[in-house]
Amino acid sequence: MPQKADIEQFTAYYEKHKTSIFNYILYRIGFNRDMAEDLTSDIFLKAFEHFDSYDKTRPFKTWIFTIAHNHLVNYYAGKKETLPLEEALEIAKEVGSQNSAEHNMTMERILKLVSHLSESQKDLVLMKYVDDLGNEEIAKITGKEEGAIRTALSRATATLRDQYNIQFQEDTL
Amino acid sequence: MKLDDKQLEKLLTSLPKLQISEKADKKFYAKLNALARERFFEEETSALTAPSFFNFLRPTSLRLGLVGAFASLLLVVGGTVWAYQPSTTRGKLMYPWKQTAEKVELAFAFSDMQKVDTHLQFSDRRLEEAQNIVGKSSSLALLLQTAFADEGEVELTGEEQKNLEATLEDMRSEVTKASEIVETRVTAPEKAKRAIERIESASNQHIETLNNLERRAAKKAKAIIRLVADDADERLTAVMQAREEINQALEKREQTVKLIINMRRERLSELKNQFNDESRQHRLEEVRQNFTETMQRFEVMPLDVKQEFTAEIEKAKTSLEMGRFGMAEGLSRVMEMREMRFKLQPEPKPEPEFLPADQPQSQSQPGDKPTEPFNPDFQPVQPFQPQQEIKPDAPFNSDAKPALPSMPIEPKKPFQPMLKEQQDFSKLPDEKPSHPIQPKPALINKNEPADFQQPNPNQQKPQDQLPPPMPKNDMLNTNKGMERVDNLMRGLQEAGNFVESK
Repeated sequence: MPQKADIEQFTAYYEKHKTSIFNYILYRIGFNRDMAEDLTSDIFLKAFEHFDSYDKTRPFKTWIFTIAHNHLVNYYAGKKETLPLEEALEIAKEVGSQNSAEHNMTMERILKLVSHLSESQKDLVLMKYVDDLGNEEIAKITGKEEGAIRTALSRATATLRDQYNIQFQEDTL
Repeated sequence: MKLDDKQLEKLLTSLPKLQISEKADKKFYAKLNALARERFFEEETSALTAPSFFNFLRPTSLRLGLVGAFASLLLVVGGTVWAYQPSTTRGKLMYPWKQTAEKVELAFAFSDMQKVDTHLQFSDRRLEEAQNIVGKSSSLALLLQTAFADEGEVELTGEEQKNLEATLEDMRSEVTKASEIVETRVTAPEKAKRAIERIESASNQHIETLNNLERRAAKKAKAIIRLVADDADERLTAVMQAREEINQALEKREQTVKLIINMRRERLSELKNQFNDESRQHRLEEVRQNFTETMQRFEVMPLDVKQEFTAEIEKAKTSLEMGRFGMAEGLSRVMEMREMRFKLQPEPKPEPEFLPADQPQSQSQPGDKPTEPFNPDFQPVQPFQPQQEIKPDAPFNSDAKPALPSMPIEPKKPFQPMLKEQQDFSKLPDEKPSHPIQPKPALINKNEPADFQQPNPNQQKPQDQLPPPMPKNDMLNTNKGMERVDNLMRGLQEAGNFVESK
């Protein structure tokens, strides 16, 4: 049962985490902005509905990400297609227009490589670097062991690094 | 240069991050607010019903009290719902409950518009009840009527008749109350317009339903229903007139409007409670004549003005065919009012010359009014018919209508067009001093040239009163126009003196 104070607190949480959740969704549904905004709103409303079941001793960030994670799983249950990350390239260019051309090119390459990772690896990499989640937080959200997350992450980054070096070595030489 | 882990990490963390749009933010907050309100509400109501709440309450008496309160609430709500059924008619056990509940309902109508709506809603309910009272026997009556022609009508019992009468009277008084509110409290033209339109549509619906009901009803019920339907129809005249007044006020951008509906209606239906087939027929004939006269005057109007009224004319014809004299009269008066407005316009459009040759002929036979309802070939006579305008004088009236010698009821003045009514009002000393007619003196003045041109009001023959020149063409000439206005003012004054001396 939400009290007035609860609503204020929830609003504060929303303001703090809306960007993370929005980007979390955005990167996973092929950069469909409108859709990502709708889903973000849905996720927070869902969270509000269950706010009384939220254990306030635990961080809100993990809780809301768990909800987002589950929400996305449900969202994908209906649609089986995987959405490419390449579309992010255009956005990356727009956002990074103030950066150097070289930086932008590198960014494009990274995104391309990330999008070619396996689904679970991609998810981990994005959580870690885009969503700024720690290994422990990722473990809680995905329901896996923290050690497993650490191993999987280092494997994913190694793949990325190697792929980058193989594909683009000649350019950077 | 090879990319190492640190560089890769740096690159990955600098992947673009977008901001949620302001629009989406607003949308979210709106939804959140709605959800929060909903939740609060749920909580408040669940406090009464949630079992956990009852467990929490230790003292049994308190619990019992709550159960009792809840049960009585249920009883009140349930009882009201039950009482509100249309089948709960006057004379039934639950009817007083219904009446009380309606009083409560009315108390919760705060604004004037809400009150108007509530009264109209009540009147609809009364009509439903009336249908129920009649309906009880009507299906049988219908069956018997078809089986035995006219012989086997099932009449209402004496009590049922009384109930029907009282219910319909209530219906009538609810509409009256609604119009009273408009008359006494609503002055903003926009608001008044909305209110009056609702009253008009409600009345129209009532009449239609009553007419249908009458067809099904047995003899005695028929008479009761007919009376109320006719009365409602009469009201429509006043309502339509009021609506036209509002329209004109809106056009002139007036800030306030003062309407008369009920009093006007009462004057119109002086014959009420006396409606019988004969008087109805007479009334219908009268309206028909009035309408025909209006039509004649319209013949000379420019085409665009005529076109403006095509719909009204058609509607009036249909109404007359259906015997809806009130509606026809209302339309006729609306047309008259617009005609006046047209005539008051500063630049009257050039129009066909009147045939002066035609004039003496028509004037020499003032009583020679067309008795046929619609004569399309009728020669346009002249815009103002003097014999009509002078009708307020009762003695003259009987002269003016030789066409209807056998009229059952002496039509003193109730059915004169608007103009005369206004005159009547201003003349009658017992009328309220603050009569709403007052803001309209200009209308009266400018529209009575034909009446009072000659300063001698004692003259009974209308043709003597009218000077040869036609008013319409005169208006084009400013000097002459002024002269006419002077004459008119003088005439008016003397007419006033004349009435006083009487």
